Amino acid sequence: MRGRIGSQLVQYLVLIFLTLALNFFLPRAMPGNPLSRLAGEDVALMSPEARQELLVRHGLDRPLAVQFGIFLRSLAQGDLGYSFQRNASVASIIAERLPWTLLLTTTALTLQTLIGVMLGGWAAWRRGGSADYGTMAAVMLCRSMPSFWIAMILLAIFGAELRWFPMFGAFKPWLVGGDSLAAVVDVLRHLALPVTSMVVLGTAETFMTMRYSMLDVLGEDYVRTARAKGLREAVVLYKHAGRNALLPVATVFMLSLGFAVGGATVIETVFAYPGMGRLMYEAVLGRDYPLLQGTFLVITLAVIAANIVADLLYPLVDPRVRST
Amino acid sequence: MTQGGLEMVSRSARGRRWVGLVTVLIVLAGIGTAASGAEPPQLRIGIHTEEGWMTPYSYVTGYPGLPFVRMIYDTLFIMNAERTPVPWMVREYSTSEDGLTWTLKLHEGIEFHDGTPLTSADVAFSYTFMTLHGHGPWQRSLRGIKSVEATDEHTVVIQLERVLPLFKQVPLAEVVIIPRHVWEGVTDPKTITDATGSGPYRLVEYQSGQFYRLEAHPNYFHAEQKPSVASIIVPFIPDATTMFMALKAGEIDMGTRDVPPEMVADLAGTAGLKVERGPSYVSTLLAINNQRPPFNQVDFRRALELVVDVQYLVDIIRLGQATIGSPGFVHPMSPWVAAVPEAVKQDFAAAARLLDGLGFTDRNGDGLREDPQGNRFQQTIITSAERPERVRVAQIIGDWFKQAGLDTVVQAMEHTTVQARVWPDFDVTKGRDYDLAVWGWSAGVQENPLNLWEVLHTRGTLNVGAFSDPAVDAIAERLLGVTNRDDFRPVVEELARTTAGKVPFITLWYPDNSYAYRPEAHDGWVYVRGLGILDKLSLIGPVVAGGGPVGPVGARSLPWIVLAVVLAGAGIVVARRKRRS
Repeated sequence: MRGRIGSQLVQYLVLIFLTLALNFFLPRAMPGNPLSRLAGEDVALMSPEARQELLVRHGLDRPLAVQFGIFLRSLAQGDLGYSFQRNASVASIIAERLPWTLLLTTTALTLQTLIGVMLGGWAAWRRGGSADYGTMAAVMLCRSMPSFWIAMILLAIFGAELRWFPMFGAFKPWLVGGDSLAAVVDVLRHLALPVTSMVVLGTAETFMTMRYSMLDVLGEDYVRTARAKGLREAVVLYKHAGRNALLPVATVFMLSLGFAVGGATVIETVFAYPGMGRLMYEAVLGRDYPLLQGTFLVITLAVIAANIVADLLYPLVDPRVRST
Repeated sequence: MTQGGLEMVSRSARGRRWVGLVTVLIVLAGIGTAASGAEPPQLRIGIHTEEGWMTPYSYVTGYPGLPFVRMIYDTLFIMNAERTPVPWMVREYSTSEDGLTWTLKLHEGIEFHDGTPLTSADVAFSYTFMTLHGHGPWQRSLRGIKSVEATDEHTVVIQLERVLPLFKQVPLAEVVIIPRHVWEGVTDPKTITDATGSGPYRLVEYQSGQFYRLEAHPNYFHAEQKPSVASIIVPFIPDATTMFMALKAGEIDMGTRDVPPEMVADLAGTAGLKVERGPSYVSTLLAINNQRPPFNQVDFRRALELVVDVQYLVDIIRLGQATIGSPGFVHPMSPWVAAVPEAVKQDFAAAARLLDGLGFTDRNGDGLREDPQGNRFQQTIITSAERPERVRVAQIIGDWFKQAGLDTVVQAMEHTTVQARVWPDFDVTKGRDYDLAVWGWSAGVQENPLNLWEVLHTRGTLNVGAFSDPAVDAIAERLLGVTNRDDFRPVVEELARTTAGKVPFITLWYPDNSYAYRPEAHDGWVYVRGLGILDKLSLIGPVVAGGGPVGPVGARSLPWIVLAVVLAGAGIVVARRKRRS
């Protein structure tokens, strides 16, 4: 057991190192450089000496291997670096954005999992019928729509036309610090459209996983027994069969939870939501290497952590794994 | 109870649950609507980029970043709506006979936002500090200054190394005054987050990724021109469609994005919205790599120019909302010219004659011309994929080139990649890797006649096409010798005329800029010649009533609180279900 944990730990460490290296070298391989962000728009009119001085100040004049070494050393000291673009430490920027992303993505993930599980189970129960095909077609149709398009449609209908929900941001500035109930409700209202977009797009994965898993389980003897006992349809479906069919869904959920830290770039951009996805996108455009490295590192660690948690939780959820 | 009875109970329970859910949604929408209805009177300006702490050293873009910096920090002179420099913080000024010594007297009673009096020592400090620390336009603007001295509390004497004909414009109306007590001893100015200035508005809040809040400077010095709104909220809305929809829905009062031509009529026709449209000094052009054969031959470039119908492009792509590009590059509305060379008319036959003369003929009958050696010839137009207008113009021009027998490929790519190919490291001495590119220069390039030297001279820092012509160089050199503002005009006109025949690039158009706003919230917008309405001039004037500051900020903890509420709700549901089962 100890050996297994040790080898897994080594695997994770190697993975983290490789990710760090990729995160470091890939952005630098892209065309363009961060000078315009370092110096502002009039970089062109700076003298070559002034430009060089700027690169020296930010350590960008050194060979890549040296820069990588400095990056690793800083990281070991808990320093994620300093953002060129935002003039702030990467850690503080991420600390500001991460809660909003977690609020957005975990809410969406929870809702899409609940809806996916219920619809998937129900579709499997009615396998081959019009309800099954209809649900599957609807879910797949939603999945195949571009995310910006869904977001725009929701924005146009529920934001611009009906004006039920706010169209951008995470809250209205003047409510913060005032009435706390109004502020919480305001945050939830700002969450409504981006979360709905994500749920519309993301339910398909859970739905398909649940449906196929449920189809397997529905053929089991204990399900037939439960039906024979005259239990209600919903009880057999969600309590007896559903619980056992949930195992693959739990895996999907845990993995998605890891990626949730990365936010949803398109949705966050369309709704001007202050999350990690938008932050990453802006960092790519600005060639803000430290910010890119920092955000990718946080995402990598979150995915690895989610994997570890999934590994640890799985035996608790599925006794068969424990016995082997 | 019978089975039917159980089903009925179950159905009615389900029904109750749906009713409950719908009620919660209605209540949520209701509370939210009530809450949003309680917003205090303040101007909401949607901004499409985030500009850091908006100090002179941390803002990111010339537009919309710099106009906000100018609202927070004042300058000694100001550019009026006609872009003529007029005294601002300066009460009176005089120059020595040789034009090398300027004596400036400041208004009395000018205060920084923190209440510290602004004196001539702050002016001297600002000019010296910015000469030493380069960023954005500051250091460049201060070239040619020998010394800056505070002779008394309100008098500054500036000695110049040479006569600067545009001195009132650059640097007096350009360089902002920073407080010495904040910036003294600072070695890395980009790390400063204290945006204390003396401008009409002070930055009171910056929420990364979300918004800025500015409030009127209560003790602004100017007798007539006071901040005209009490509070300005500046939310970040990166997506253009979201910004325009938010404008239509009344969630913001003005958007910093230029309204695309196809949306102007729609927004102008929306109740409660107004669109202000005017010419802009921004230029869109087809950059040509003059270093690479055959683009290094002026006749080849002329042939390219002859097949481009700029009038058609303005009509079709800009829907007529642009000024046709002049081959002399200078905007016809520029204060530095009375007239500019007219655009060349499309003439495929003339282009064919030029190409034939250069040996570019179709030898294999495939409809495309081979080069003089008989090899296949293909040229590429690169353009930014993020800008649909530019992709479209590249495609139309590419089709015209093909019609003229020149095989042309259009490549749309990330804007930063286009920049890296055309202008690697923003340094023209590092070469270039393109044939043709849809390119553009910001308004600032046309504003200052000395920038024409940068664009057209062989050694110019904005000469991204490596254009080199002795006649153009000679005229451009004369620009540097001008000592009187009024003497620029004949030189600029001659430069434009000479440039027109050499085709260093093809100037396509200067777009009109259109900005939408809600006059009900603020109707004092001023269209500044060649630039637009986002300017300090639009937000100063007679004082009007407005909301004051709102409560302390707890935004950092807000997402955690709501996340806790959501999770607690989910926990309660799960616990209740468990208890029931």
